[in-house]
Amino acid sequence: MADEDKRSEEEQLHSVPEFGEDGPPSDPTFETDKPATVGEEEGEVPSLRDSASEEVTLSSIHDADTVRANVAEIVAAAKADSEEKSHGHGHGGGGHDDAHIGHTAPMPLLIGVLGALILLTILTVAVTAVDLGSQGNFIVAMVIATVKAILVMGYFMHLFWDSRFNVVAFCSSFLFALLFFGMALLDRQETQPDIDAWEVDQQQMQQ
Amino acid sequence: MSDKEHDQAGHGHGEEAVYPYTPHHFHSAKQHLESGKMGVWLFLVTEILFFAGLFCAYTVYRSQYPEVFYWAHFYLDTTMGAVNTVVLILSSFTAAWAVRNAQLGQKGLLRVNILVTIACAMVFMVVKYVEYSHKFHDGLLPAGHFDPKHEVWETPVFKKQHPASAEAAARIVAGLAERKNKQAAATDTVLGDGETLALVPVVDEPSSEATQSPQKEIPTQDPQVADAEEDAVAAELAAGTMLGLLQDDAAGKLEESEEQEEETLVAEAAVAKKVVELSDEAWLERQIRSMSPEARRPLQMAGVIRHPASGVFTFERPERAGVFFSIYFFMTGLHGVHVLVGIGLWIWMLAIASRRRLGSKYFGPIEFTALYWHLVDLIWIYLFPLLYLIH
Repeated sequence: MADEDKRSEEEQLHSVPEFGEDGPPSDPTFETDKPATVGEEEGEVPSLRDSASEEVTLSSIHDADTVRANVAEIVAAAKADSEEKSHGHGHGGGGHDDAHIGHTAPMPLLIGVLGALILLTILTVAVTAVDLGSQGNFIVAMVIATVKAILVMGYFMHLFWDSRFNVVAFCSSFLFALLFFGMALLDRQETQPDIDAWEVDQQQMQQ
Repeated sequence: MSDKEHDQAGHGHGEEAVYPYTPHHFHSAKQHLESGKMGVWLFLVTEILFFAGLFCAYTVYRSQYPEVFYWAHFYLDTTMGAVNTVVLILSSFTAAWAVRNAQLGQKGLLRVNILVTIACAMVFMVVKYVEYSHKFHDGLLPAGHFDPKHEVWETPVFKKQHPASAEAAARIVAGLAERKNKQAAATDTVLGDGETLALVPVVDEPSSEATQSPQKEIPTQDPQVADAEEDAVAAELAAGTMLGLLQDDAAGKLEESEEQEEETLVAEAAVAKKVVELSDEAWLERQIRSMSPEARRPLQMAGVIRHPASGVFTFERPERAGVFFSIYFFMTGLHGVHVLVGIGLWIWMLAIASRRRLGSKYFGPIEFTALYWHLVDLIWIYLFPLLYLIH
């Protein structure tokens, strides 16, 4: 009886069941002899649920707050039940996305990126044998370095799968660094004649 | 009732925490991870700006004194730099793999990957140590203590890439040293009735070879005196005026005493061949102009051969050469410190991997350390072409 109630309430409250009827796949990482969370025992949860299920029927709603509290407890209990073997809290709210809290990079992708990085390193060294003028070599080296950087940042550092904020933070740091370089170079152009004149003075004083 | 549940839900405050757990101020494990990641990314932004200061110094100096950078790159070993790059890329790969291991709860493989990452980092530090010790040994220290034992044309890299240039440079330097020796010895010489020669223009190299044989006949103690006599002969040949005999702008000299007239006839034949009196600067200019363009170009690009519009040719190390090594040591040294810190962090992660249960719901520490480590790799990816692949 309690099980039927539990399932129907689960279906009502969870639009998409997290795991199948069997619950989550067993994860050896989380197996433990102790109960899932300190102090909580198996028996306690059903009792809560039982008492709650008795109260939450349309005919016996006393006030919205009680209902809400009871519903929250049911959700929490259901979650705790479904995570029987895990150490989750089961608080209400954003617990739904606990299953995938980070994208796992596939192994072939990691190896592919490693290969690409090593190839690009060899390319960088090989390109120095070709003379493209004083600026050309520098630009080519920087372009290759940037490609490597994008590979490392996107795949190894998970930026391609992360929240946009991290990307924005990182790119903005480069923008500020560029601003830094730009102002420094402008200032250098301004003041270099003064530096040269000072140096000439220094040399003349020594002579 | 909700409070009771809250307390019993295993926070681990001050007690032994039961991992994986989400502290109560996060409402989910995902939020726990995401906020940690955001914090680490903001820290990485500060690290980038940290290094940006040094990259800015590099940019400003290289744009202003490109010859110093070209000159200095012959002292660096590109192979070692490339080895370091590959080693760091490999360590980045094992770090990313370690994150995957942590996410999947693969404890054994996680430990192996962390150990390999640490090993790669240590290889990097060893190679760096070897490079640094070479440099200290060769006197290539930051500006202020900069005193290289070998000139740039004596470095193996330069000799391999520009052999003709290296030979020409060595010849010029040897010639300059010889002239300086002759000059120094000659100014100490006292001739005739105690008259001291104020300045003795040194004879040009080819002609000194030609006059070797007659000099042997003259019973003089040091060849510098013979040179002086030769100059005296040349002076008389050119009508004996103080200034008229000089081909270029060498300083004047005093007339010789008449005692040496006896040797005039002996030396005359030799003198008839070109006895060119050149100043150091003029001799140097002649040497430089006689070099082939391909031999001259590397030395020009390195700022060794300098010819300011108003002045004379000079052949020496570029000014501020030590500044390159200041920048080099500061950038690679700071990066090395970051690698050391990374090694410490990874050792800590080894401990965490054993003590805490890492899995799909809790892998933050490994992820954050890996992010830091990837940044260290990123910085080296930029340092390598900027410092080691200058052309």
